[in-house]
Amino acid sequence: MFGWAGKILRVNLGKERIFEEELKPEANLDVLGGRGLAVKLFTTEVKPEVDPLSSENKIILMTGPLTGTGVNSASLCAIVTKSALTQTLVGAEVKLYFGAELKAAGYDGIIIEGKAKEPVILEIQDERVNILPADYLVGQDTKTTITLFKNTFNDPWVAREVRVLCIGPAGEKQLPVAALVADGLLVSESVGIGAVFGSKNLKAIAVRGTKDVLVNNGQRLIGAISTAVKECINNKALNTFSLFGSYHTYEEFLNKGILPSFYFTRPYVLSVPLSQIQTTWKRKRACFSCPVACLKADQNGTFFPELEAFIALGPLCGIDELSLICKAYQACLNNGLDPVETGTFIASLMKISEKKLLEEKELPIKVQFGDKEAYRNLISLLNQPEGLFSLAKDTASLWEKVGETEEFVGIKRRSISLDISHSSFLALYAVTSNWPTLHPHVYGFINIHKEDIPKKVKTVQDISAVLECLGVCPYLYIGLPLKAFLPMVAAVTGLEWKEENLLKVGSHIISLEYGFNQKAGIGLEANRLPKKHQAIGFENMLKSYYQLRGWQ
Amino acid sequence: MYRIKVDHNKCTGCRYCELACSLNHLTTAFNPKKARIRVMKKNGGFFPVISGPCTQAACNVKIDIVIGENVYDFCDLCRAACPYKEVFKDPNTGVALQCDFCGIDAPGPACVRWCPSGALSLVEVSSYI
Ligand code: SF4
Ligand code: SF4
Ligand code: SF4
Repeated sequence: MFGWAGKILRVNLGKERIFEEELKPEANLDVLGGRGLAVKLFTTEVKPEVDPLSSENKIILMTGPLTGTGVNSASLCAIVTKSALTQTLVGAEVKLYFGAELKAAGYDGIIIEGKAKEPVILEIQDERVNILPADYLVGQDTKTTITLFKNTFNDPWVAREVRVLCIGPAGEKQLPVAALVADGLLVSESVGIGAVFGSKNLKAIAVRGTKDVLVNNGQRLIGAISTAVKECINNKALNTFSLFGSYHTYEEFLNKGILPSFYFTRPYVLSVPLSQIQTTWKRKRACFSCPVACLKADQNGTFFPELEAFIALGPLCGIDELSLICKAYQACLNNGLDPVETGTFIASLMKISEKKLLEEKELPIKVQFGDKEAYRNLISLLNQPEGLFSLAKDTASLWEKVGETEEFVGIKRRSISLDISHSSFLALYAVTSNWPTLHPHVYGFINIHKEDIPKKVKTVQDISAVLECLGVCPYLYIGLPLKAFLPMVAAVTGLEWKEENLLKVGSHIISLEYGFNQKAGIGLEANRLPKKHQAIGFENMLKSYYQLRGWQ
Repeated sequence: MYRIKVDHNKCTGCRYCELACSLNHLTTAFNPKKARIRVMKKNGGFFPVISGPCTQAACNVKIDIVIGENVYDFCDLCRAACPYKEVFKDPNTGVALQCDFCGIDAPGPACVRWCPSGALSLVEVSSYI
């Protein structure tokens, strides 16, 4: 069958063995590929009660059948494991070029198991797969890691084309707040996975592929892609998203009080207008085969933080100087830290210091809301992340330490940086997500009618899951309905799917994920709003949502 | 005559041009590494480079080009366009790949038609400049 490469790599780091396994797409049509297949394999191979940092935990990377086939925005490679932060299943998505490169190397995915004795890097170049020593990369930041690794190639063209997914010092130290970085871009939702990489002594995965990606019907695919790309270019909502990226609802959020400041003690009062933020976006960047190009970078190609990271590192800390926020974001990326967790941790420290909940000498550094000088020192402290997080390993633990757990703003130990009490839609979406998350493509639904919220949340979650199974960026849902992808699915794979069948796949995967979490001890009782962020009528909404899902 | 105009500043690095070129020549498969146009990254910006005609002559111009605030060594881009460079060889057969301009009527030039950002465009020029 086309679309799938039909092969998976199984890499046992402890035994230093690499196996090539056959993948039968026909046997996995209930989950398609990408996030779905990764979840299916993970939940059958790993026990729910596993300690995320033990060698029994596995990491599964999986592309979708459309990844790398030229279908618009089909660039994703899912990473599924048990998170060191939330202790739930977590599914991150690597963007840019990594997924397409893995497909071109002839593999649908990689299963990583065991624990390497020494730090290693997994290198894949078509059928040449090696576990290489990475001692020269130990302690290096993500940027240097990529450069040093690329320097090991004699051929500059190979070095250019190799795609590197790696952790920084935070991941090596197995901090729960560690995230992954791929080719300079933060891997979205990867918080909690960096530590798992670190626990396996896996510093990086590098991929380059030179194989043809075959499709079922080339002529039909050309027609279908051209139509879809034209639709993207002419679509008003996607155009706005292309212009503003995750800031596409900035002003609306501001008016509704969804953007908080000073660790949720007051709503954000605009001091950095969108027009000012925009002036720092010098380049538009796109992932592989994406006409939308929503990523923002400066002149040197350094990525600008997405909205939630911006709020966490800036307004929540009382900081409104754009260049400082960008510096802090860069420090997070270099050290492999999740910017939302880092920002909320710093903001919490500021609030703790203000409320005098800790003695000054107990704080790792002098902190104060809005104090730029202190903030600058904090940024340099990020270069020794274990120093900052020695006080507590994450924001939730920090509030536990000072005995004020109700002050923590987050869900299932994952911090959030938007004030979801002002939007029932965002609240229900975040609370019911199997790993707490908000996505830029759901921001636009905040005005939906109250009665419609549970159904809409379920639909959006299901559609996002389907798109991620196919390997397509879910942000496209802002402008394109799921059915716009059906002709391309058919042209690539030869399978004629109906929309309702695809939706069933999405729903099935979400239940699989939920089942795993429940057995891991994180069931419905964990689906709670932050203490101070209760929304009116929320319990009823939650009930109707469970009814729709058939969960008890 | 027609030529392809490249506006580096608009290029997003989406690689649709590479995909389109490879599909146009392979008909049922994609392989950006077999494309006759390749998108290079330099100093944070992207430079789509089309493999031009090869000549025996050594490079006889050395110029710097200024784009925005940056100065680029043009030789770097020019050399990249030489089809004898590995990047423009078929990774399996080693055969040098060269842009054949694949026609101005659909589906050609595929790279221009597929470029979503407007970085590539087809222009008519009166003679070879
Ligand atoms: S919409 Fe943005 S994140 Fe999604 S594939 Fe396109 S450029 Fe990447
Ligand atoms: S004009 Fe045709 S052959 Fe030349 S680079 Fe573009 S797509 Fe390839
Ligand atoms: S298709 Fe256009 S925007 Fe995309 S990489 Fe090629 S030249 Fe750049």
